Amino acid sequence: MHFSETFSRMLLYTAAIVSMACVMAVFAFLVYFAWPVLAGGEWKDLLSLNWRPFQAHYGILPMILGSMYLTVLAMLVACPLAAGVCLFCSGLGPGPAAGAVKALVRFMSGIPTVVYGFVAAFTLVPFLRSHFSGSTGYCLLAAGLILGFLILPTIVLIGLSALERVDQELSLTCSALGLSRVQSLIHVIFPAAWPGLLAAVLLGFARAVGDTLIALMLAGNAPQLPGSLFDSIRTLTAHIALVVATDSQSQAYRSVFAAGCLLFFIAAAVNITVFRVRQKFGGLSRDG
Amino acid sequence: MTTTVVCGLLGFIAWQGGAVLGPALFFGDAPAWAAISGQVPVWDGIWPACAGTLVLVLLAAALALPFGLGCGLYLAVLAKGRKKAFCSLCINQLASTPSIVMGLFGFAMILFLRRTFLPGANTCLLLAGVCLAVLILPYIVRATQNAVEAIPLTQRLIGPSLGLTLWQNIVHCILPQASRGILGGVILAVGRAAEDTAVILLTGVVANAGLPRGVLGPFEALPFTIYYLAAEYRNQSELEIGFGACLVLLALTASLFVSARWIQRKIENTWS
Amino acid sequence: MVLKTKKPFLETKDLTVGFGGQVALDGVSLAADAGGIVCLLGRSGSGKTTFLRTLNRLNDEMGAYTKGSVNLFMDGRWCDILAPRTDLLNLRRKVGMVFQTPNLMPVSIAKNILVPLRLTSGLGKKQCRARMHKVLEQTQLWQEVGHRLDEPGLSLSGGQQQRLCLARCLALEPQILLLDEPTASLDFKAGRRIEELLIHMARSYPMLVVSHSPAQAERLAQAAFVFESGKVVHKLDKASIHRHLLEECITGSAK
Repeated sequence: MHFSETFSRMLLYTAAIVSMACVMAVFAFLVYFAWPVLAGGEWKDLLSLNWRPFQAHYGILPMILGSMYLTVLAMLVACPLAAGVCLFCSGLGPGPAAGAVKALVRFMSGIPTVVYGFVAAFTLVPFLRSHFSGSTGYCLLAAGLILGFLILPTIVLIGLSALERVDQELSLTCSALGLSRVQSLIHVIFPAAWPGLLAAVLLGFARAVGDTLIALMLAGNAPQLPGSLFDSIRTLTAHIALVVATDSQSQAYRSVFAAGCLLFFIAAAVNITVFRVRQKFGGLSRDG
Repeated sequence: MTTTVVCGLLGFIAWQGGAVLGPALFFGDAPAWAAISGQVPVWDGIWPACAGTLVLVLLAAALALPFGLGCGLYLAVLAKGRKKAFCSLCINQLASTPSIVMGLFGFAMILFLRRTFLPGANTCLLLAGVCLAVLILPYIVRATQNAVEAIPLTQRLIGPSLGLTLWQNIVHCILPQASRGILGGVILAVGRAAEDTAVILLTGVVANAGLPRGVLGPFEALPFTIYYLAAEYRNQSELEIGFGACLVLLALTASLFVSARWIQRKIENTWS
Repeated sequence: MVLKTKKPFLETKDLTVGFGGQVALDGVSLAADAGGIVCLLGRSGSGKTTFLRTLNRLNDEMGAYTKGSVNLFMDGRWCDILAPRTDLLNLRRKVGMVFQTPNLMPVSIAKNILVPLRLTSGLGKKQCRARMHKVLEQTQLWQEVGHRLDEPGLSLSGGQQQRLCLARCLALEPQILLLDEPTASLDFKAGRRIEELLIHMARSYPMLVVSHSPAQAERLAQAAFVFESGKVVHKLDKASIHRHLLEECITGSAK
């Protein structure tokens, strides 16, 4: 073999190995620092509802639940909207309008998270504060609404690409059968594209769980169980940011790394599920 | 409804931010040229944050680009079967890892260095650059892979069928045809690096660091400035600076985004 | 170099090629002679393109596995090209290939020939230009494009592009030529022009041409092999191609 051939191969292999090593390194560092907590008996304390660092209680259960509530709320906001936008863009809306909406959604995915947070903090939050007594405005509802809008483009764009692929294969058949556009979308194309749509929803979910800024800026960050939509919550991601920023003791750090591990595993679970779904139904929705 | 919300948001920022747009927003009371060259510190302008973001993004892109390109080419040209599936899975995992976890990773590196052979290690510009590079790496990999795989098969086979080496094939046949796609992806990745806040939050951003002094020092950044002002503004003028910063950041990411789309649109026209 | 006598240049034994779980070629054994075009016939998916791409190991690029033996007569001796230590780059330079659709690089006409030539041969600028002139003459392109070599290659007509591809591969001075349905993407007239060129060049190069049209094979070939689901089912010579064509028409199994 020529020397340059071998050399260029080595270069590409190295780049690929370094890239894969990044994932391993992230994982290894998280586990390395979280291990004392996970291996020792402290994880029971970790899963308690108590977060009182000054009395050596490091329960992160409120944050786990907070993340869950917030994510579910965001999904409840985003999914119906996304379904509507997908339908509108894939044939229900008039052509130019559909194109414009699609371009707009694309553009939305480029708006910085922190801008959403900043604007909401000075519009939505005061609005909630003045209209619902007893609330500071920094609450589950505010964060959920904005987070819903944040993950909307993710869901719409991935979902639309799945729909379009199915549409190319089936729309002529549907027209030939005499189905109207609405009928074919609802009865044929949506069901046929479900693996891609599922992947879209899952990736949106992952995005919502992993987002830090919205929760940090809008959710109030009190480590408690929310009693209503207007209560303040703290998510896992915001928890990490707050604890690392305020620099408390090393025990608190460990709980943070446990939280990091948990987030990494959630991402991995979503990732593998999406991979499986696409592998199994690869014919209709390969990559996205 | 979505349209209303987005347009409302954009309009609100333009309205609030447009009012304060001007040299004073960037440099405060300091004279512009002296401030840009760093002779005069800027106290109530966002120029240091802009400079910090610029340096940070360049650093991250410079670090991520060679590996991202290499890995993308590996996936598109060399990798087959199981190895390809595994590598793809790793890259997907990297892409879906929350950015705060990436920040935590940087923080953990510093803790690790402190415990082992560098007790004086502290969060810094270099660390943030590395973490952001890891964050945008998967975007560059995917963009490269997609751009190369979008070249028709017979075009990709020119090089091998003429007996060119892999390197000659990449340089003379593949990269010229994929460069636009790769460029579009890189611009998107840069936009991603410019807007991310969670990573730098944990890896050394400081509210009043001034211009970045070196890769081992603290720095300011635009998205962090916005976050910080939202939480701790003291008076109306600081709030206005916050809106101004929002507008600047939005204009930055939007222009990156639009140019990336424009480039990609051009490619679609070339191949169809 | 003119090939006067019929000499064998290709020999395969039990050649099996597969992609993942799919078998594309299933135990192909054949021998072909130089001195005239050898056609590979068959329907799409019958394995003829795969067979062609085995001969310059291009299937390796697409992750295929290959078993059996393939010998090519090059440099005055038989080479086992499936041997693990085969120098692939060298092999591919000696075995030239033209694809079904013209695949020019998006650069000028001249560069399409000069860039690969300089990279693989290491010749000087002058020699490269001389070689380019020669191959453009050979492919009858010089009169048509000789005065506008700096224009983009993609501005040429389909037939000209395909001839430029042929010229590009001739410039590397191959010893064997492989053509994969070289006229499939062209109109009738441009296709005929290429066919004439091929017949002319078959006096100098051993040549394998994939075709899905028996009529074309009848015009071109000294000999032909008919592929069906990964196997060679007929070996035909000049005389029997016509008979086979008729039979297929009568039994209705031709395309």
